[in-house]
Amino acid sequence: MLVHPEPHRRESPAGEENIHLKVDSLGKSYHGRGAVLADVTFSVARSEAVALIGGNGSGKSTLLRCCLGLVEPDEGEIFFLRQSIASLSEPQLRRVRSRVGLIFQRHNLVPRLSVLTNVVHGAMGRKGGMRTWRHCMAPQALREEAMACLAKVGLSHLAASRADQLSGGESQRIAIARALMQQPDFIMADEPVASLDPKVGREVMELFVDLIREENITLLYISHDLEHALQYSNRLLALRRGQLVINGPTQDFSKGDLNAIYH
Amino acid sequence: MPSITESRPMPHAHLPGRFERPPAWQFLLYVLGLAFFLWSLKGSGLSLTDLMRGIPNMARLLREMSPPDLGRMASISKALLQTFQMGLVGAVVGIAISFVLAVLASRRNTPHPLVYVVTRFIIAFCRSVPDLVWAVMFVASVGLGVFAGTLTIIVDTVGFCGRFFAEAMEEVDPGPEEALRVIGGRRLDIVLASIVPAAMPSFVNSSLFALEKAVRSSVVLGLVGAGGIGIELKVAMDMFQYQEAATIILCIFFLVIVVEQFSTLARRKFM
Repeated sequence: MLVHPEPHRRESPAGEENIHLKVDSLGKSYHGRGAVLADVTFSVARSEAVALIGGNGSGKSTLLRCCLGLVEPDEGEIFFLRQSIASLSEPQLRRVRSRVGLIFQRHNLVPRLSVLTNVVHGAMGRKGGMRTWRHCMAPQALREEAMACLAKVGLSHLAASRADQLSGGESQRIAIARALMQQPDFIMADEPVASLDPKVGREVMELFVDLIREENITLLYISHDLEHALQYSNRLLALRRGQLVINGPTQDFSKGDLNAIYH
Repeated sequence: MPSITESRPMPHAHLPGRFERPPAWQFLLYVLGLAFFLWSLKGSGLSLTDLMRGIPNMARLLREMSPPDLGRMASISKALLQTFQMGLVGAVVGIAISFVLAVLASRRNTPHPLVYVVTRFIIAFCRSVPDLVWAVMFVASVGLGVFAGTLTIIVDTVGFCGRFFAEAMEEVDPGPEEALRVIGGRRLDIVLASIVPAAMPSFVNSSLFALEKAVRSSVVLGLVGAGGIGIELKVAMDMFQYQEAATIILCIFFLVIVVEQFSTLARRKFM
């Protein structure tokens, strides 16, 4: 299949009430860089796993950050569960964010703190306050919940270890446990396995996707690995120079089609 | 397969020189700086002749100081303890105040640009006025004694630690902070759960230096009436009791060394 010269907008089959995230005519420019995103429109249905691909500088990370209100778009609107992000007050935006897990490429764990504390931080949005600063200050139920999240990623034996003494694969699993601790209904991941070797990357990706399916969480992830994009998603989005050039079911695309967007 | 250097054209044909020739205005500044330094040598009164002439006097003073007089050891020890207490309390209270001011004075954490400017100004003001000047002002305000000394050390520590704490918080990796923001953490939660732990080694390092500095300052502050062992040293020197002065100097040396050793150990353990 050829890459569509015009945005291929085959929306997910879900009805409007089942739309989890809707991005409508989104545009963003940075001073001196021109348009990073131009007229990007798509939606993600509940429990969908959507892969977002594109070359370096195509606007993928900006798109993810716009979706979480970390970057303000110049044009267009973003709706989470039919609520416009732009219309939310800061506390309302915090509440929305608390239900969206974001997995970073660089893990972004707090160094020097224990693994358990880092996982407890995941409850900061829904619990807040000093109870989530350190695991020793957290109520017993929260500590046990964090241990359960660690058990899900198979690293409960590292609970007392320092976060900055872990391997890349372990750090990313802890970041996944922290995201699970949020009790999210949506997870976004920005190249979650880009810093890992292929074997560990595959293991982490499989664990990640299995957990998300088990918990019925909606997933939007950026990947530079086309095999990962094809294997773990049921819908594909592709950006080229800030424009959405692919938006369709994963089974409609081959690796060759996807390679074309990098040329 | 050709090597990387073979396969790529070299963009720069000329090897850059080892040294760059400074522009004329920069060269002129160097010359003026050197001339001012040479002039300052004269202004500072640095004289090898005077130094040589002073050596016999120094030797005589050292002779008169020995052996140290241990007769007033009890009261000297009490003054030494008071000096340490003044330094310790002044440093700890100063560090606590510095922490609060530094959070407000770091660009990443400040709630408002005006708060940033005001707190930066307070810290800069505390730092730019020398501790002896603060001591004189506090002695004039609250009277002679350790309280004036403790206040001086608090203000001096705020000037020192406030700046370093704020800079340490500005330098930490923004990644974990962003992660907690995305989770939905409030500003205070993010500062205390992410930025402070990451900046902690720098906080500990600066705090230990502040403690060492406070103990050294607390010795000198006594000379202007701000309590502690300094006043004992001044009285002994003014009364030509050089043997007693020697005991006081040795005690000060002991205290400073003990604090520095503790500081080195704590730094090694924590960093």
